[in-house]
Amino acid sequence: MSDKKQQVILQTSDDEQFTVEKIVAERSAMIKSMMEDLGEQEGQAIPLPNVSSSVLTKILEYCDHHKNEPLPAADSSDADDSRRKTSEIGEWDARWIQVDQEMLFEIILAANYLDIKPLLDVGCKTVANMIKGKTPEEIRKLFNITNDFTPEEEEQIRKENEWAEE
Amino acid sequence: MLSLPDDLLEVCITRFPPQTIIACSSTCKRINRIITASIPIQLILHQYLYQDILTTQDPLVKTQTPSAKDRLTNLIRRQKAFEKFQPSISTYDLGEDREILSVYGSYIATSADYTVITNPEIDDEGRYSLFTLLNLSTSSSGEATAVEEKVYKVSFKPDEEILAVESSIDLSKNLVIVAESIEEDYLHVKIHIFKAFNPGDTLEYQGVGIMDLGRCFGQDGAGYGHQIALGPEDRIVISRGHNVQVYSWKTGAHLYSLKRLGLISFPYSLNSVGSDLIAVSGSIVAPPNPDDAEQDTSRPFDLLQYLLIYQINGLSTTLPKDPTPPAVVLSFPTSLSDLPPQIREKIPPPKKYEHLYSPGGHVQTGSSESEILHLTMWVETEFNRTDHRYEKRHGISMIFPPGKLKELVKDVLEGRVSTMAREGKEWRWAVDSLQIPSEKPMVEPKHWWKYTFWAFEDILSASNDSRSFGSKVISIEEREDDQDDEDEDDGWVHGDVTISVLDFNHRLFKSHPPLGQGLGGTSNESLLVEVGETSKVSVSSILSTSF
Repeated sequence: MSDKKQQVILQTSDDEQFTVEKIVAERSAMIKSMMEDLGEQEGQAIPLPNVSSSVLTKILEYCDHHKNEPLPAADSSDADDSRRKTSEIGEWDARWIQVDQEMLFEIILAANYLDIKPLLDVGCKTVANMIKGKTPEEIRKLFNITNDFTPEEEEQIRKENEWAEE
Repeated sequence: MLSLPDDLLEVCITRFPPQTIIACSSTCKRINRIITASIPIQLILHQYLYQDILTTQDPLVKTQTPSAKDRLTNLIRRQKAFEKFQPSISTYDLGEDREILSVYGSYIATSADYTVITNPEIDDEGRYSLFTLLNLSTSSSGEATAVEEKVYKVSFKPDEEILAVESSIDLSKNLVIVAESIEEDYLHVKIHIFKAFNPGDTLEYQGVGIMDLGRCFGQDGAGYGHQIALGPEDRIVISRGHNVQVYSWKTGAHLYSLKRLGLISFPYSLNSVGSDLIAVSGSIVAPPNPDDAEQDTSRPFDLLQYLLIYQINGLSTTLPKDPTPPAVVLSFPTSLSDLPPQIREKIPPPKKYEHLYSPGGHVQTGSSESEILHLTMWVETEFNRTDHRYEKRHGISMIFPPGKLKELVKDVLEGRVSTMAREGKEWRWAVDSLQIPSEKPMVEPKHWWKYTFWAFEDILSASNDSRSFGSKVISIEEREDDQDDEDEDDGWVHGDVTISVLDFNHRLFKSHPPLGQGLGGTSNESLLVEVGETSKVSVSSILSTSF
């Protein structure tokens, strides 16, 4: 079962080509549907103009690790549920996603583009864990967000939230 | 984080815990805007903000209290399911135009003809047919056509000629009540009770006979129509004039006399809520302000609406001499500042108050088992001086979820909820006009709004109806009347009907906008009955346990 048909070529935004196992590439619902559209055309690279080689390298690690897990059913809300219920990030995933902020958001962007739902989920939860329990000012500092509210607006929002927390 | 596009940031934020979302909303304008505009995120926040208010024990469904996470998961799942939900529609031919009086499960109670209410059909033996009960069923192939009808005729033979009949049907309790007025005699009403129907049954006439309202209503009731509601067990509540009387429909005995307060303003409504509460809406007209010859702008309404809540189970079993005053009086919002902030903010400009009122006739509740009370009020703006009417009308729903009204009454009586000080200048006129005894004070909206779920709809509807099924679902029906229609009073719906379904377990509030007439259902299913041009009706299952 290791003949050429089980391989697929992915071409990144910086024109690097990756030859990967089909089962690994299929973690991406987007690549899977593209493969189905392209059919059996040998040797044709699938272009991924929104993904750089450094990010794809990282994501392929993830896909390779999870390649034998059942794919989440397309658009299944039940699968969504079961995933949400186990809100903990897996041990391997948690170690794997210990990257700098820039890479983390690149991964989230790519996971969304490539349509890898579990990966998008891991990415978002990682962000959530980073800011859990933090004040707005701490969040701004962490992500380098400029406070563009006027003092009046800020006061207004503070009041609204005060009511919400009551 | 700001490197992500808006849609992806939104996806990301939906995975955050609510407290984190709230913190993020005050970091910068862009994130604030995304959070404010996102429906999924707002649902999460709504769920979080209301979890204390809306976490209620459902008396009919014994389930383990789900964790907040499970509730959220369910909410999103249901929200998604609802968006995709296509109602199943079956069409039945009822044979001729009929007014649908009530819907319950697969049963529809219809009048044989709309005019039957005032002009009952009479057969050769002098028996009256008041309405027909149809059992609708669909073929196993699921074809949307009339397949089988079971027609139940209800008939009874009155002692004397009936001049005016009002009927009240509560299919959820398997009871049908027909109240019969006697000509020129406002002091008596004849109540006929029909009971128990199952497929194959015929309706059983329970009888009852004349209730002498004169003895307890006195001349107060003369000239007024009456309101009838079924209370717990065998209680039937009749309101007329200043008083509300509670009878047993089994024995015809007069059980309690409840005092209404203030001046009469019709229409008002009477509802039994849960096993021991009766809610009566009313209103008083504010006395004219002698200092202001034109409009009293300092207190912008001329009406104060209130809800009188009586506790039935606390009353003595022997008929007291004096009518019992309400246990609690709730005043309705009388200015925009009385509304909760989340509703106030939704009212589009001009935010300047023009008119705020609650039509008493539109205060509704479902079956008494459900313990749900739904109140409606309108905010009207943009007064058109040429046509002398308001151009914009916004509907506000105030809904007491299951058990919450009872909890509020308990909290008021035990002093945990602030009541209005008699000295309060703004409110003094109201207390005085209502003659509220100092030990039965009025509760201002800001002290009771937290017991309710509020919803705002930008609508133009002229009428409104709501039903609750079991203790889980309330459906609110809003009709946008077609002003230009020639036949205004023909009993049929004109214009669009919006059905909103609220599931208290999952905080789902959603509109489903088909044309239609008639709403009904069980705790598991809500049915919309759409009446076609002639005799065809379509029955849509708009909510079921399947999602």
